[in-house]
Amino acid sequence: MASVDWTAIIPLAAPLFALLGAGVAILLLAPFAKRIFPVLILLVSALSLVYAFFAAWAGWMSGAPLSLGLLLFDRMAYGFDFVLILAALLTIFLSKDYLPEEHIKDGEYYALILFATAGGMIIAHAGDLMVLFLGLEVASLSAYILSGMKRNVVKSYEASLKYFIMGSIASGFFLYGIAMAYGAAGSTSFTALQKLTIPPAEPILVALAIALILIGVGFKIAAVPFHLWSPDVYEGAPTSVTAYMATAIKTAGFAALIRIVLAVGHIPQIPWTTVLSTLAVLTMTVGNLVAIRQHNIKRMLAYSSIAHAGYALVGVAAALQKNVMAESTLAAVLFYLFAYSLMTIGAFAVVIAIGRRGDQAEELTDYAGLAEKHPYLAAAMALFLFSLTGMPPTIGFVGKFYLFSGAIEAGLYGLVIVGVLNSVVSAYYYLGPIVKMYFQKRRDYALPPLSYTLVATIFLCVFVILYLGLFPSNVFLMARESVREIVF
Amino acid sequence: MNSLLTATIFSPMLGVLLLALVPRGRETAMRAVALVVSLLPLFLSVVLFARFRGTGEFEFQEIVPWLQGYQVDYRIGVDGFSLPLIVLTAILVPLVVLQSWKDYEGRVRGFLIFLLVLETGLIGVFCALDLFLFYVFWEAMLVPMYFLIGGWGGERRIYAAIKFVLYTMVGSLLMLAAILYLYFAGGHSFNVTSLYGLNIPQNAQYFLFGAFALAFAIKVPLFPFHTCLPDAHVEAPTGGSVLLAGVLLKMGTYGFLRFAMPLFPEASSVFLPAISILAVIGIIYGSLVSMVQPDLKKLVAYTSVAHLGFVMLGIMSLTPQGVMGASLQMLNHGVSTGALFLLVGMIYERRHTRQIAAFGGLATPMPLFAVLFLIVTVSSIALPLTNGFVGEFLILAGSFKANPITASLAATGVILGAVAMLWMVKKVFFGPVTSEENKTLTDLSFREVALMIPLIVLIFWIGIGPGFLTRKMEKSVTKFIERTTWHPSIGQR
Repeated sequence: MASVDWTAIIPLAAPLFALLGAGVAILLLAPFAKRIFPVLILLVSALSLVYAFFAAWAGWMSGAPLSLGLLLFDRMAYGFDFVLILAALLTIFLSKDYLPEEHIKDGEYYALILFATAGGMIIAHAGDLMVLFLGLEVASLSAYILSGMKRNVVKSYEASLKYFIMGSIASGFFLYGIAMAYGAAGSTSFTALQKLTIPPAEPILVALAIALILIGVGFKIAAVPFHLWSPDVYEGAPTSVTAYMATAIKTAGFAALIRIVLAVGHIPQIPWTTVLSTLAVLTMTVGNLVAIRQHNIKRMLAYSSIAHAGYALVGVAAALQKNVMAESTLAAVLFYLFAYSLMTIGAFAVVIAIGRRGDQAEELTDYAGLAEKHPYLAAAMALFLFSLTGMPPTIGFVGKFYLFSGAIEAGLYGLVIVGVLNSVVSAYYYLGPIVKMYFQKRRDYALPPLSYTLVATIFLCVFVILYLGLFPSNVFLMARESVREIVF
Repeated sequence: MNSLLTATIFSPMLGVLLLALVPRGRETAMRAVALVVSLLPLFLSVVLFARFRGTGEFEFQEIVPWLQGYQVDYRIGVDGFSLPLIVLTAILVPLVVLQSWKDYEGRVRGFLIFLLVLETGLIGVFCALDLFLFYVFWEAMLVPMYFLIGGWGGERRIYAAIKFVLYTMVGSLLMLAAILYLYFAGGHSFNVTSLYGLNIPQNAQYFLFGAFALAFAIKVPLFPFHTCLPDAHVEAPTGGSVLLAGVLLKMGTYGFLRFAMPLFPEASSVFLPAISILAVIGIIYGSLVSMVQPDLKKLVAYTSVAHLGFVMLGIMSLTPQGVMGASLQMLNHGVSTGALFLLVGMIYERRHTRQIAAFGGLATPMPLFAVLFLIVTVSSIALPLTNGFVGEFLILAGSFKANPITASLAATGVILGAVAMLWMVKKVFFGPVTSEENKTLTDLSFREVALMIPLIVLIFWIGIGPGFLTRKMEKSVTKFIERTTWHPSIGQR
């Protein structure tokens, strides 16, 4: 490994440093922030994210991919950065009025969101299994704490502890896998893994390494059968944190999965299509079928997010054909993660808005009659749910279109048929809240006026979902450009 | 003007914008806005019809690249099959607005918005020449229909709405998979015209045809895929039923005409007998079941199963008469059944029941209503001089050529259907007025008569002089048969 030229890294990794720096600054500022300026912390974190976004934009535009061994600076990494930053930014706006209600201290909350995002970005930029692990741990540790932040609610504690224990086990699997990979390749860098001979000199070691690493990543993206933690955690965690975990953390998990598959996908002895397809089918089907039975909206969205990870896995399975990654299918996965993040955060924003009635109001029955009292809120929620179902003209439809067309191109017809039938199943439970909101009456209630940040978040999600549902090509082309040149 | 067709598709959306601006509570203003705006697509579609030359090619084509990276275009155009259906849609929507003039107090805005969105979706489905665009309209149309049934429907409306969506989605999502396959098989194109005559391996054709046919058969509805139809029709509000029966069902038959059959001629030739048999079963089954329905709306819904069976039979005959008859009958069924649902809606408004047993001798208190109902009924059972006769006659003539046995069986269906309808008319309108409540019923108002007149005019116009339609359809019919007929000896064209 060449000695690292730190001066070269600074502009390239500016998004990362911005978030880490802002996170530390917030921790230092937290005790006095309220006295200086009430929304200082929010402002600092938002500004750092905006700056990170533009820095990532500059990195993306500068074009030529660069590998520094431990860290990679290609367009795919920056593409993931965009999704992560966007998810974090939307989460922060959701949180502004939610935190005081739940008596969550805002200093460490915002800092942890920034750290988790930085962790996700480290994963996206990782050029080495150890760096990837580092990113995974930074993101996960932040998420463990975040999910336990509702200090006076037992469920939140439970979520945090459960997430921590399950996550640690997953990390254990992952580390074991890295150790095996080191044994097989003599190094943990992706370049070394790329150069593994075919057939591998240590077939069992390689197979074990890949299996263990996949299990570890499977936990992080909540793929079935490694999903059992996620409904409880999603239900117990503060809603804004759930939104963040369901989008940013999941996206980071997929970044890890894709990086790993890119590094070792060339080994034909591993039945990639079978493994990934099986995971995809299980994840979609179990997620959707169990979601039907849920009465709590957060649990329902948790299972729905499992199902969506399944759709994205269809894309990963389809992208890796004949041990080569298909460009447009990989782009479809990236696009889908972006689309999914938008609609999910939108849906959770509405959940937060409804929760403002004082009681928790997380049951589906709490949505009865919403359309009459709050037509715009109900319409936004309906749009998010239709988009999650995959109805045109929304981004959810376009995303599924790209994914499934990639799978058809790869010849995975069975997988696509399972996927579309799963969409039908999902329609059933996504229609549930819509039925409640529009077709049922309930006792009168009125929400306190919504905060501007919440309204702005919901409006932004609505606008982008519709706009990109009609004119997705530019973003898709950008996603495709992102995966054109990938370095190791 | 080049974008006449686009203007027709999206002009109802203007109404959506305006409706959102009308202040809360000004319901008459909302209705007026919707009515005026819905006259816009009607006017445009009539202009289109007048300028339409009937060359058999797609006219008024517009092509705008849409999704780069995938060859998706915004490609629209009309031929002799689609244009009449567009006009039909544009005629029915203002009538629905008029019919519902006194209904849904306090909830009018949503109703009208969804109605206009639905109109855009429906017209779009008939214009789309790009499979992706077609799919977008096809699915997008589900959303307003779902809200119309679920929000303004009858007792079991939620059940019916969800059933409607899920049934449609099963079919259409499998069709999406087939569309994607076609895209990669057909040289990366969603363009229907360039996909016609594509050389697709036999096995793949079977699956693709199956996927398309399932989606369309559920919409038609072809027996045995009809079970969501009675629920949806009965529970939908009157306006929803009118558009469901009048236009949505035609999306299925239109799908066979435009996509399923000409895209996969070889598979069609294999499945054709089976579909004909299902169509005949549908005709007889629909007529028999409608005989015993106690509910007026359900009765009409089941006659739709029979009538659409005729349409399918005509298409499957692959003869000029049969296909022409089918195409006419699609329009006729829209007019007659739309009118029937409107009339049933009017009596429901007065009595808040649709049970046949609750009526009897209605001709005495409501003579005007009885006359209109009778006219529409005879058109529905295809008496000469009405539109129904022209269509059914051509279908039977065409299918006799193709297969005398199925045609004769279908002909008995005509009789059964007539029995069902006339029986109902007798029970509802003739005999003594049994119930006290029925004696004081008021006859139709000026508005109600006025909204029926266009449909009555069409019934006789098509019945007496269908030439104005057939002239414009002829070439498209020939073209369809040309594309769909498969010659095993020559192989694929």
